[in-house]
Amino acid sequence: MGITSFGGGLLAHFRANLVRLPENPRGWLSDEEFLELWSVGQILPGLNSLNVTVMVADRLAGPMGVLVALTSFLLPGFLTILAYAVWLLGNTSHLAESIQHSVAAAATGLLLATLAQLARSQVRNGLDFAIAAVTFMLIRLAHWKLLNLFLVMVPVTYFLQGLRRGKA
Amino acid sequence: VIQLFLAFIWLSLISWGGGAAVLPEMQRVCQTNAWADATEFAHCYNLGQMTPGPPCLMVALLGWRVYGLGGAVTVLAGFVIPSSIISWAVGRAYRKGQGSPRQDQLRRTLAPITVGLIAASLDLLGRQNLPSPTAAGLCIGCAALILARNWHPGVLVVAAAALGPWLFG
Repeated sequence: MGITSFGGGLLAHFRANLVRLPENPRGWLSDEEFLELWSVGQILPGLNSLNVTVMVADRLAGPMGVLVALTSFLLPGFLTILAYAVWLLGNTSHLAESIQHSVAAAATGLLLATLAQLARSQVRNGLDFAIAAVTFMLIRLAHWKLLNLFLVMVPVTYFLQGLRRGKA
Repeated sequence: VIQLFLAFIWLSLISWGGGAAVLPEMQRVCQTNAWADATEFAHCYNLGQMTPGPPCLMVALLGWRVYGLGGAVTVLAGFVIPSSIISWAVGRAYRKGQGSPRQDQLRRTLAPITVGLIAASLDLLGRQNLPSPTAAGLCIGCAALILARNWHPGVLVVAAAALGPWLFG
């Protein structure tokens, strides 16, 4: 993953590599476990992808696993960026820009696919859909800060999901 | 160097909600300390997008500008270590409560919120990354290949990089 995950869109890479899917039966996590760790990783400070890496690796292999996973996840990019630093810094080439445009568009496509897959497996009823929609609007239309969003949405949703479960 | 280290520990700890959220603050810190001006910062950011692994490895590039290899390692350590220790501790605590009905309810709480957040990131990224019909077509094509044909994301990104000069040159 450290080598293949270019240009963000990490969520797609994580899910494709870690989750037990029909096309990847050796995956280590269920879709639910994965999404749970992903959202916990988003609540915590720091880079989401690294937080998730730490939690997954600790779950699978303990503290040593964490060290190994972090190193192998970061090292390829770190070496690449050092190469950039040596060769490219201060040199804006047209070639580099066109590659970057293309990778950015592809990375957006990965995110789109992941959103579709997760919505299919995790949005199970009208309540789930309404919560996802409200979250989207608070961030994109009302420009809420993420921390505030969690402070409001997590207790409210927890309460609503509890009511729903009580009725079921 | 110590100032650099402390600055990035601070940035790591305030980056609630991912690296993209602290970019404005990071740029401000770099400018006040004369580590990089706005153009240099944007340049570092773009290179970060073209690097495998998390895009925020660009912080190492900022460190490199100031103190060479030592600076790059220092900045990365400051940015990665504190938040990783926190995740490690929280991950452990979280695991203890596994299987309880409360945690199940928490899971059903976090799932739809996360889906909403991903939709929000998609909207944000899409506005930034899809300025042309070609880019939008590439985006939709990639998504379709994953959804319908189970293509591996890594393959698509490498293919997109190879096609870049032809599509956008």
